[in-house]
Amino acid sequence: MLISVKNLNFSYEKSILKDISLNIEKGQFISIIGPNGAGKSTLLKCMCGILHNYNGEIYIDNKDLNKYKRKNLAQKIAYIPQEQNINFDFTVEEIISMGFYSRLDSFYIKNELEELMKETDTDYLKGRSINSISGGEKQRVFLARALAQKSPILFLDEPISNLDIRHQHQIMNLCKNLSKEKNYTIISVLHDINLASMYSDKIAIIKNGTLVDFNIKDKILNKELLSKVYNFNMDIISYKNNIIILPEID
Amino acid sequence: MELSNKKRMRLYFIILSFILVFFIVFSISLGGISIGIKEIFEIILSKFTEKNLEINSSNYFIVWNLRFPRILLASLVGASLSISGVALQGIFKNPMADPYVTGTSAGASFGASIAIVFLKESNITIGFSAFIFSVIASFLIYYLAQNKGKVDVVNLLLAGIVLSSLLSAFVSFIMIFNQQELISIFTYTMGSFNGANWMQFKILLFTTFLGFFVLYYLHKELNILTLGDESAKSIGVEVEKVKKIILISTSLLTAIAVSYVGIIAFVGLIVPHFFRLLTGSNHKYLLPISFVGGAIFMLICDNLSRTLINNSEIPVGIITSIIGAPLFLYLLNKRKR
Repeated sequence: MLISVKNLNFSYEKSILKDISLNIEKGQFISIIGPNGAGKSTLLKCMCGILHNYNGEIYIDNKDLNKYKRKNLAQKIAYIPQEQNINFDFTVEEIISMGFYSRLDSFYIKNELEELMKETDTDYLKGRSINSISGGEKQRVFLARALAQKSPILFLDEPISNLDIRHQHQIMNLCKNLSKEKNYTIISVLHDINLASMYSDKIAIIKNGTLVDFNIKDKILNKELLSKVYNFNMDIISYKNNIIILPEID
Repeated sequence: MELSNKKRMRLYFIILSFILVFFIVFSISLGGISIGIKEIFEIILSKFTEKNLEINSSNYFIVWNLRFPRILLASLVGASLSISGVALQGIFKNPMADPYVTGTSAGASFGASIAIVFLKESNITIGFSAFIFSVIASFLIYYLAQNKGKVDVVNLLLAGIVLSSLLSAFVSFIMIFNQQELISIFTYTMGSFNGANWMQFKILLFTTFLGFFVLYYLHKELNILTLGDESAKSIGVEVEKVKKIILISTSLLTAIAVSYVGIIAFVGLIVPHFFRLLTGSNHKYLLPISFVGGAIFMLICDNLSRTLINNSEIPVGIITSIIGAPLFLYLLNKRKR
């Protein structure tokens, strides 16, 4: 098992995650969905080692997460946080190059940097300041920065919030391709259930810090479960082999 | 592209180094008694080669014992404060941080005042006491500025203002009860290169280069830290450890500078802001160029402080504040927008 979470509990001032257990296999695209404040981002941050004062156990590649050194963990896991405001005018090239920090083979970065920029369609932004590009472009730059780590597990916290529909699908397609073609394991917090439905292999659904279910998407995306979790009546329709979730229409 | 950028930065560094050497010689010639550049070179040459050149003994004294240590000390103070500003801005992720704003300078000034009054007054005890108190002040501000694990700029500024005011009040209190040390302590609140000596220069030379090499060694980490702690951790940086090393280094750089010349405000704000326009934000280039640029800036300010008013000297801190305060307000306004 690539990632194994056992009886995970986490509290700030109150309990945020309650007794969560789940296993994630290599090469899967996993979405974490749930209402606002359910604990999705906290779960993600615990799993990628950003928050470490949790109770319970998390194993990455059969090794306790807390036993990894930062650089070694960065070779296993890359993470893109929800918001990244940078107060300094680094160029796109400089930002992406920061991802090579944990790599031992950093001598070869020059060629790889160019490949990465092509792959994420950021090569035309190379010399531009990170603060002068659009939200969609920024997100692709941060994705390129994370891919520069060459870590096989990629955690994304709401990677498509604030993006228009074209850029949302551009980012999601990039991630899906990484999972299918390069066997990356992608774990992403998503607000949009339809995007989770379209791109994920499995979905974890969380409410009030508890894992309601973690299963293949066909089993998660049912009217009763979603309506109960979101406390909102929903309808489900099938369109071109995709499950589409809509608010219930009278 | 990368190579040409590297070459460009190297060229900037070389040009700035030449400008610095020019300013050092020019600054030595400047003053109540004007001394020609040829004579300055002869005095320096005679010192190192011990050749018996025909040199005016009073000019020799002025150059070697008064102006030369002062000018070199000013250069090192400018370099120290500038690279401290660069590093603090990196770890606070904000271009408004500098040793003056973050209370590091006030901590050093308080420590130096305590050493003057309560300990044996020597360059080493004053420097050491200034260092200890500036480390305490830096860490205190760093933890007070945190809000839910992130540095909040409002918290940072408020904590810096409050701590600086408190420490300045303590310094004033010490001054009232130790009138015989009034002038020594007063220097720490205004900033002046008067009274610079070779011993101070040697100590500052050591701490400035030590601090610079530590910060330069961590230039990649400083770049990554500007992305935020969460991203930095995920990229593989030992965030808390690196920040502690940087805070201790900036405290050392600031403390030794402040302990010999007093608080000189906003240098760490002005210099990095200006040179970022030239080098961009990459600390690999920004640190060495701010080092040399800070030295040049401080020499210009010191020359102004010595020559603006005939037969009198304005504390250099007044000049840096006149330049720095509007820049600070501009950055504050820019942030609001």
